[in-house]
Order: sequence, then structure tokens, then C-alpha cells
Amino acid sequence: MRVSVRYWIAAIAASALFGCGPSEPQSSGGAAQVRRLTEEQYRQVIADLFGKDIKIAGHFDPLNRTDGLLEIGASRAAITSSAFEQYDLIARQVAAQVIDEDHRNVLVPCSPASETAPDPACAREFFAKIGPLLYRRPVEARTLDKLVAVAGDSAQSVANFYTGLASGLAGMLETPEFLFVADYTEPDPNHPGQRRLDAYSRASRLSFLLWNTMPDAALLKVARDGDLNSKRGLKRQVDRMLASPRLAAGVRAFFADMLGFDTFDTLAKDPIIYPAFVQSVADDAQEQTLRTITDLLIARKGDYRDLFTTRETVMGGPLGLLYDVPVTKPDGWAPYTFSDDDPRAGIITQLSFVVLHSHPGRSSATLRGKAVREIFLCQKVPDPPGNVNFSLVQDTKNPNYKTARQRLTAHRSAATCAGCHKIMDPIGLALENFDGAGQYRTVENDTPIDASGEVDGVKFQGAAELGKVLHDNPAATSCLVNRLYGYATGRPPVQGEKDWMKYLQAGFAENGYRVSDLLRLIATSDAFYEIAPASGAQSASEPSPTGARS
Amino acid sequence: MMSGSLSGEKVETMGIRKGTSAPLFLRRFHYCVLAVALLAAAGILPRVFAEPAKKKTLGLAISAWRTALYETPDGKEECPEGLTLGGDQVWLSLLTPEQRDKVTKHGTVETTQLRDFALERGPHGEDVCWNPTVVKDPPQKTVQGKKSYGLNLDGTDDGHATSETCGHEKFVTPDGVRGIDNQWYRVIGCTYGWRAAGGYTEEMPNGELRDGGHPILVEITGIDDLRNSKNVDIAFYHSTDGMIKDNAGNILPNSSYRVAKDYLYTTHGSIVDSVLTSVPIDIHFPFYAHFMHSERFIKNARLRLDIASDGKSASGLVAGYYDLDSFWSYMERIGELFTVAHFDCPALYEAVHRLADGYPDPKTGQCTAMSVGFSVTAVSGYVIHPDAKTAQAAGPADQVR
Amino acid sequence: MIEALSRRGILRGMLGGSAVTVGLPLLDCFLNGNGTALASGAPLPVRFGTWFWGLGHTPGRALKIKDGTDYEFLVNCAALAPFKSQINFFTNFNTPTDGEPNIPHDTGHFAGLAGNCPSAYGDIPSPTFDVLISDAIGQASRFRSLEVTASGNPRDSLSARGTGNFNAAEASPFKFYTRLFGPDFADPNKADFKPDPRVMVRQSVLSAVKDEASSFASGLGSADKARMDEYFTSVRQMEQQLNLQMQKPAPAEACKIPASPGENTQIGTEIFTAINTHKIMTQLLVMAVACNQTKVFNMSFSASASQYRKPGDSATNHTLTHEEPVDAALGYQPISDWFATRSMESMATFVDAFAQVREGDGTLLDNCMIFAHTDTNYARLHALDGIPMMSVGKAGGRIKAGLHIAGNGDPVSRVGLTMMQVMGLAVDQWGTRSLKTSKPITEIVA
Repeated sequence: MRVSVRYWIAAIAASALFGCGPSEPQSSGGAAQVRRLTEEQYRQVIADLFGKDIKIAGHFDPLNRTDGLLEIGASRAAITSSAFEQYDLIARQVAAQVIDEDHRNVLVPCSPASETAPDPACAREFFAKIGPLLYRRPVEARTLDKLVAVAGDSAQSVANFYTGLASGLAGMLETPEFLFVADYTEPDPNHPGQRRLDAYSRASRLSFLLWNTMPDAALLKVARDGDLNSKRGLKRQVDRMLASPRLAAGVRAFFADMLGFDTFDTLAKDPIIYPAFVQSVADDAQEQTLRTITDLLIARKGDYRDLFTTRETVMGGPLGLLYDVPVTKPDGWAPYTFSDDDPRAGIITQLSFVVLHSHPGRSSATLRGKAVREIFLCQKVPDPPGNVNFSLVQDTKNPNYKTARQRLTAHRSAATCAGCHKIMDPIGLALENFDGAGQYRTVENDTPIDASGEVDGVKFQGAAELGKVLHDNPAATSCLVNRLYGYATGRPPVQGEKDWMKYLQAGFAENGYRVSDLLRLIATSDAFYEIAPASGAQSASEPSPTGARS
Repeated sequence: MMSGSLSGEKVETMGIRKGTSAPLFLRRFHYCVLAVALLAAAGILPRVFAEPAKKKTLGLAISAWRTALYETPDGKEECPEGLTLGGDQVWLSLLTPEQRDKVTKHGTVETTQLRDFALERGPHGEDVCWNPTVVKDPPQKTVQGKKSYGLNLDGTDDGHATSETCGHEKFVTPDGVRGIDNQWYRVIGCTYGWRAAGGYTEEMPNGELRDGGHPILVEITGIDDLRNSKNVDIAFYHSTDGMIKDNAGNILPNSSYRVAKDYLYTTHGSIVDSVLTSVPIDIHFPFYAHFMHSERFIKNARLRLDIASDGKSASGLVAGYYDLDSFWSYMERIGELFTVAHFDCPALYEAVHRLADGYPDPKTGQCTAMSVGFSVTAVSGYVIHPDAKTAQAAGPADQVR
Repeated sequence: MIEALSRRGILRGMLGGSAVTVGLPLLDCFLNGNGTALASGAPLPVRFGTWFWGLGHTPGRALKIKDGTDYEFLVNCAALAPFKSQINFFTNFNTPTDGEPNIPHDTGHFAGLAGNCPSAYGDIPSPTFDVLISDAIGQASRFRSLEVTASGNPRDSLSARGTGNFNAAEASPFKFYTRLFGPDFADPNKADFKPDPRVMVRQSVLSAVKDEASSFASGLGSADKARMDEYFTSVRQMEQQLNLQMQKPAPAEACKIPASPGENTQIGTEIFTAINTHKIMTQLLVMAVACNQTKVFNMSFSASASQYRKPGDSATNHTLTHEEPVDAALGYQPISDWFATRSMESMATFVDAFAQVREGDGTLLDNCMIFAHTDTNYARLHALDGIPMMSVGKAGGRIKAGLHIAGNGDPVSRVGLTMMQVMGLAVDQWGTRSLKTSKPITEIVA
């Protein structure tokens, strides 16, 4: 923190000297990435292009969390046979809906001369319209020819023009151009020897980061005109995108990834121990936290750190059962403010956190402490050794150890366990007032719960104070910068970006830790688009020498 | 006026108020509710019933509602003459062998097909549930036992006729409380459809309630202490939200229920040793049964609820005088269930009028309502008022828990 | 076993699409050593079906749970007793509605079939799982799936993709016969074969996709190229599936074209008529499966609020469940109970028809998984929780059978999830809101 501020002050001083804004340090850039579309992105793209009523029934292969993020896992994801079968099924399903009688008049820009025969001109018009949006860059004439031919063959063999179109469209949705977002690069004129993203890949970077969907037509146009390579053109687009209501989708996607909400899909709670944890709670708990985040960070342009202390949230559905509070709109969402003396403050006291980081039938100070470290402070906690005896921790009925604190203290007396537990448990124990289903409690097995805790030498009492401690912990903000940049690029920051990351962190602090300003700083920078030259086995994407791909 | 709690008038006696005329008061009542509803809808009505800051509130959602029946396993104690027969059986028993042979086509017609014949057997083919006086059936078998649940509603020890009641016999509760009025039990206590074994007429609505039906809400405000509180305000609402149950089918506490804007009754009461007792008022209790919206109009209705120590549930009685017109309009609609529930509309109609014990018609002396005790259970929940902008307006700070 | 023949040689000739004609039924020599797979290595296909009846059982008269997983059929299900070793019985799975109303005779079965609760009659927001299964395994057969009803009403189908339309059921035995065994039928045991143009279309699409992918892959670094290799493998596997569909069908041992039921077969809602219709439809359906015309089928014995009635009686089974008195001495509704027993007898007819067809070392039933289910636990009260469900058949050895599985109040969607997984779908989670589950019933998975 101190280093960053000092850096920033130096940067400002330097800028005063040279009469321009604080200059961005040079960055090496990282390797080019080829990222598989996430399920959410796939669905969003189809909805944006063809409308929300196009149904997508099928499953998407899960991504592996890498360096804390699924989006980095997407840079390593392949398409397995089962995934391809599903993509094939979904593609044909989507295509059939696009050309059905309810949609063709809106989505197909022309009418064929005959509905029972090929019409190459109309087919070409259709593919030329949707192609650039699906592939996120101009479609080569050669590719268009092929699509028209496929549509023609198909129309011929089943005597139906629209079925032909559907065949071509389904094919497009199965190509790697659509399913993967690849970084296309070109030589960087400003940094000889280095490469940078080409204009269309810039557009994709921007739109997937800020909107979690493909570039819209306006953004593609700017890319085509070359304006996206100019500082001014870029800034204008970033301003437009940050002001759009679609920003919420981008911010939600990032936080859902960072907070590990994908694991909600397999979350199970014991219905006998936690009868009020009806299944829909899992969905609503995520939604509550995401709404808390977008409300604070976007609607109110708040300070990221306040996520750890905010008492403002929303309530809806069956959440009131577990929070034991009234819900004014049980079939929707309504603002809710926890009172000043309420033990809940900040998103780590919300159900989405305390429930996700618990066991099916009991809370877990260790899992919660580990999650705080890994998710919010970007600190890696080692996995437990293989031969640990957990029976003491898991036996909630042991008369000698009635509370989690007592059980964990006994467990920690084993030397092999002490090292790790002392960095996890003191955080998690402060959340012990929330049981495994997130319900507030003051006793466990008739023994009062001691919710005192400690983070890195700072002692505190209870969950709300834990939030304050995290709010003031410099690792929390530098972690967010790291995660967000990793999410934006699909890879962890590299050595050659050290100065750049410091610059980002200082800029985040300077702007009052406003996430929208951090997004602007990233999106309008040079570093974000810089690509390190591919070296040997490194994963990288090169432009092809000719046509629209360069 | 009977629903005078809106104007702050308190009805201090547990007995029937003097000089009430049902039709007149009914009209007044509706105007009053309408006015409140309009004010509330317009956002003009400040929190009329708002309690002082430190008082607590307890919201309850009624999760089950049954007639309070005292039953012995074989029914011998309370129904020595046996149980009642359905209208079809009653009718068949009245026919000569020749007539019976004719209508049943020599016994080939299924019992269920005879249902329609049994229902439309008035002299001119009238439906005998809609027109229960067009035929005269043998009297309904009624309860002969001495025990019942309920409350002493008329204030007498022996049930002698007063200016407000018709003479009737009293019951004693199984644990010895005397002077209990429950003529409704006397009427249907020997009828299969209301008894635990059959239970169809009441268990079906209760099942519908558990599967997402809209409950009646009781909101108790002004509570000092959940165990003892001298003066509390009590409001009855109808919710527009369904109840939520756990995997085992139990209704979960702490759910939130928005109140229907046009339904409100208020009264006062007290909590003594965790038992809530309310000052009687006339209430139309809405319920959804057999896929129809219906209501029970209970005059002089009062609550006697045991509140659990954690405030998460309550159980007890709703007692009062069941208005016969209200009762029969429900029976007209579920009349077709007579083969299922084993009642005979003409005999049942005759019995309720013969045994009615409250609200005598000033001209004829015929009582127009009958004493009743319903056993209810409730779970705690948050009552969300239409004017609550955000949840904290109804906030947890002033809630009991 | 005919030792002299080289089975690989014969199959190569047939499957290679050459002019070789083999007019023989599926001989032992086409099977591998243990009769579970064709010599090509492809296992005998596993088929999936549903069998639906309306109005459930009489509580206490269908099943006696003996010790945890063992059970005994009672009166309602007595006809199923000979097939007990093929039947898993699921009890006490719940149907949470998340505040949606209980739509009588609709919510109960669609919650289990689609993994969510309708908000209005017939409003099924997502596909029923038989559709998901047929999407996965039905593409390579002539019919993606076959829907049939014995009630005479084509609307009595529960199979839907969630777009507001139901896959209409075949209601006429004669039309069903014509559809199956009419002019378009390619007898798997005969030589003639006509390729499907739609398959050719998909082949040409895939070929174009591969071209595009090659040019995409050419610009990638080596790590990303490896990822693209996996992509190409996946595309090739799909091409193989399509190629198979362009080939003459493999011979089917038990395929025998049945006689036409005739145009004037009586259909209707009188119970004995319906039982007869069901029997005829079952024979046709079983042959459609044995002749590899479909791998997925859905049979509705009766509608959810069944309109079946006894001869001469105007009261329908549905009306009776609500209006028939519970007989005080018996403790149940005798006529409604009679209907429940008839339903289970027809289920036994259905199951037996599959068991009668020899296939490999076992029967067609061994290579099926049939989901038998209904709309309500206790029709008298429209009870939603604990709706009786069964699985019949061994799914080619993929599941254990003969077990009672207690749901302990878990969502009913666990059954559908399990069946999809057994049928090879890569689905690890299914259902919405409280019906969302990722817990298959591992007890029955072999």
C-alpha cells in the first residue's frame, strides 16, 4: 500500500513536470489467449443476437477454476466429445428457432424467391448480417461462400430454403471461431518488437469484460474504422460501455466468478438439520449478493471496501426464513437495511458466503477462514496433509467440545495442523454466529458462542468487526485489482507487468476504490492490449497473413 | 357497533353484546372496512395501529383449521346411535323395495350414479342441498355425549335461554372445565366427513393451505412480554402469499406474508401465562376449500391461543357463533360431497336450526347462529403491510424475536 | 454359433454400405462372447421409455416396505409381482412447488418429468426428461421418440420440449401401425435401404465446420493446437454417428413385423376398451423397439385425471377418487381402488411384452429402462408428496433392480436426473428452484 501510494505520488509529480496525465508504465503484456465462451456468455450472445425467447436447453461442460478464476480456466478449456454433442444439439435447436415461422420475419433480412428451393442471394445476406456478430470480426468471402453452399445443398435436399439457412447457422455455432474468443495480434507500432491485440480482439476484450457478451455493431464498426486503436476513440467507447445498463452483467459475471458461485450448483444442506434451507435459497442467496454488489459499486458508485461493511442489501423469496426478517416482496426483490446493532454487515455475513463455505450439516470456521484468505486477500492456504484425524472437529455432539472454537482448539494442538489453522480459524470463528445454513445463533450445544477473531494481528469481536478489519486490510484492494485484471485478460499477471499492476493499484486507491474507475483505467490503457511475443511452446494466437483475420 | 375497534371502542365482556341487529351491523361493518381499505390504499391512513416504540409485534399465520371435536375411537361414547348416513343412503332407505328396484334398475346402477338422483329428489326435481326444506328426512344423528372442546360463550352455567341465546345443553371439556358451548359439534360430531377418520371436508382445505394456499394472518402488536402482556392489539388479515414448507411437509416459521388490502379486522386482548385471549368481534374468516373461495362468518369470535415459548408457533381455539346463513351458503356449494362426507342436507339443515343457540331473531325467536369451537394451529411469520416501502419499515428490531 | 463364418467379415460387408446382402436374422455370431454387444463393438442399444397412469394407488394397498431396500407388492400391484426383480420402487420423494399452486393432476407428474412446476395447466417451461434423453440417444434411429396413448385422445401425451407444444400421442392403433410398419419402414432384416437426406445435410454442415476449424487452428500456438485437436476428435466422433445413420440398419434378431390391427379397432374411455387398446398399442410399440425404429418411447395408459369408467357407469375414475366414500369397514374407496389395480395389471401387460422379446442372452426388457409414474400419491386429496414411481428393466446392466428406494423427502427430480445419467447423458444437475438437484440415486446404479 505504502509503496503504491509513493509510486502514485511520484507519477503525479512526474506528470506535473511533463505537463500531461500520470503516464502509464510500459508493460510487457502477457501471452495471447484462446478462451472458451462461458455458459453465461454463450447464452447472452444468443439472447443479444436473436432475442431472449430463443431457448437453450442443454448443458455446458464446466470450466476448471485456475488461479482463482474460471475465466482463466477458460483459456485452457477444450471441447470434449460430450461438449461437442451438446454444442451440436444446442446449435441445431437455436438455428431451428431462428428460422421458425415466429422468428424468420424478424431475424432473416430477406425473403427467398421460393421457400422450397435454395436462394443464394438471400442466404448470403443472412450470413453476412449475423456472421460478423457471431465471429466478432468480418467474415471472409471464402467462408461466406461456404455457408451459402451448405445452405444451398441443405435447402436442395429437403426442399426448404429456411432449413438450409438453419443448417448454415448451426454450423457457424459449432465452429471454434464462435465457441472460442481468440486473441488476434498485430505488430505494435508504438513498441517495436512487441505485439498488440488487433482492433477486433480489442473490441471483444472490452465487451466481454464490461458486458459479458459479444461486441455490438457499434463497437465492431469502430474497430473496422480503426478508431479503436486511437486513444480518443477507445475512450469514447469505454465511456459509452461504462454508462450502459449492460455494465451490470459484466460486473455480476466477474464477481460470480471471483466469489465461486459456480459451486452453488452442487451445494447440499441436510434438510433435517436445516429445514428452512429450501433449495431455491441457493439461487436467491447468490442473487442477493450480486444485487448488493451492483447496487453499491454501480448504482451508487461506491467504494469497493464498503462491500465488507455495508448494511444495505435486498431481500426476496425465501431468504427471510433464514435471515429471520420480513420480506416486503416475497415474489421479487426489495431493498433491506440491517440495523446498526444487527450482527450482519458486509457480504461475508450474507448467506451466499457463510452457506457456501460450510458443511452440509454444520458451519465451518476453517472453510470460512480459508475462503476469506483465498477469495478476498488472494492468499493461498495449503491443503491439509493426508493423514489428519478430523474426527474431533466433525463430532458436534462431543460433550467435552461443545462449540466449534473448542473443537478446533483441541484439533490445533496437533503440531502439523497448527500452522495452517492459525491463519484460517481466527477469521472463521468470528463468523460462528451463523450456522451452516447462515442462520443467526448465539449458542451451540447450549454453550454461548465466542465470536472473537483475529486477522494478521488485528483482534476484533464478531462478524461486523471482521468486515471492518477486511475493509482496512490493504491486501483486500490489491487482491481485487489482481483478480479483475486476471479476469479481463484470461491469465494471471506476468512478471513484465509488475509496474503496471502497481500503477493500477495506486490508481484504484486514488479513485476512492471505485470499481467502475478501475475498469476504465484498465480498458483505456495500452497495457491491457499489449501481447508478449509468443515463445516456443507458449500459447499464443498469430494472425493469419491475409484477409479478415489479420 | 360490533367492529368498533376501528373507532377505539372496547368490548369488555366475553358475552354477547346487547342489542345488536345482525343485518344492520353487517352493513355498518362493511362500510367501515371499506373506508379503512380506501384510506390505506390511498396511503392516507397513518399507522393507526402503530404501537409505542418499545412494544413488540408477533405475526402468526394460521396453518390448520379444524372443528374441535371430542372423539372416541369407535364413537360409542359420543355417538351411541352410530354415525350419520349420506343423503343417498337416507333416500334409498326411505324407498319401498319396488321403488328402489326401479331407480337402481334392478341393482345394476352404480352407487355413484345414484348420487345425482339422491341430490335432485325434491318434489319438482329440486336439489335438496340448495332447497333443504322441500323434503323432510329423518332427523340427523347428533352427539349424545357430555364432553367437548370449546369455550363458555354465553356466560351461563347451564345454557338456559337468555335474550341473546336459545336454551341448549352445555358440555364439559375432557379436563373438566364446565359450561362449554359447542352446538356445532353437537350437530356434526357424528358425521363421518368431519371426524378424524373421514376428515375430508376439512383436511382437504388444510392440505390446500399447506400446498401454497393463502393463510389468515393474526398480528399481535403492543406486546411487552411474550408471556404476559396486559393490553395487546390484534389484527386479522388475509395474506396474498403462500406458505412455505420444509421437506417433511412442516410449515416453516419466519416467512413473510403480504396482507390483502381489503381484509382487516381488529380487536384487543391480553396475554396471560403465554395464553392470548382476544375481545370478541364479528369476523368473516376466508378460506379456500375444494377449489372454491369461501368464508365462515363467526359472530362474537374470539381467540384463545397458547403461544410457544420461542414465539415460533401457537395453537388453540377460535370460538364464537357460526352464522347459519354463512354456514349454509358453504354447504350449498359443497353439497355434492354428501356421499363422501356422509351428510344429508335436509336433515343437517333441520339440525342446525333446531340446535342453534345464539342470536335469536327478535320476531320469531329462532336462533340464527350456533356456538362453535375451531381448533387452529399457527406458525410465526412477518406481516407485510401494503404501505411498507422497505423491509426495515416492518423491521426486525421491533419484532418479538 | 456358426464357427465357419467370420462375423467381422460379414459385418464389414454390411456396415461398409457395399452391395453385400445378408438376409439373415441377427445370429449369435453377430454378438460378442457374452451376448451384450454386437461384434462391431457397439453394445446392444439401451432404450428408455415412460409408462404413465393416472390417479396413483390406494395408500397402503400398493406396497409393503420390508427392510429398507426390500419390498413386497400388495393388492394394487399384485400383477407386477412376477417382474419384481426388474422393478425399483421409489417412495417418499417430494414435490416442492416454491409457491406455485398445486395444479391438480398436472403439477405432480410434470415436476418429476420436467424438473419444475407448471404455473398453469400444461405450461411446461422446460423439456420433459424423455425429450432430453431422446435428444441424446434417439438421433440415430428412425423415430427420435414415439408417444402413444391408450385413451384415444392424442392430447394424452406428457412429452414436451418446453416450448408450449406437446409431442402428440398416437391414439389410433391402425395409424400407429401404418406409421411404424407402413411404406417408409426399412426392415432391418432385409436388404433395401434408402439414406435420409437430413443426415446428409448434417454431414455436409460438419464438413464445412471442420474446414473452418482447420483454418482457425492454423494460426494457434502449440498448447492451443492441442486443445483444437480435441475439438477435431469430437467432430469426427459425431461424423461417425452420422455415417452410421447413412448405412443400412443392422439386422434385428427379434424384429417381426406384426399384423395390422385393422382400421376399425374400437377406442374409447370405457376401461375394458382402453385395456384392450393398450394391449394392441403395446405389441406394436414393442416391435417398433425390437426393430430398432426408436430407442425412446412414452406410453400413457390413462390421462392424469383419468376419464376411464366402468361399463354402464357415468362416474369416471377421476370423479370417483373424489366422491366415492371411503368404505368404513375396508378403510378405502373400493371402486377407485379397483381402477388402480386395473392400471397396474396393464402395466404388467406392458412389462411382460418387453420381457417376451429375446435379445442377446436376455430379453428386450433387460436392455430397457422404463420410468413408470403417475400424477398423485392419493388422488382423493391431490397429494403431491410421495408420488409412486418405478423403474422397470435393467438398462443393459447399468442399473440394479428389485429395490425399494426411500426418498426421505428429497425432490422428485432426483429420479429423472438418475435416469438421464444412466442413459448416458452428461448432465450433473437438473431441475429449477427447489427441484434443482445434482444428487443421483446411486443406490440403483450398477
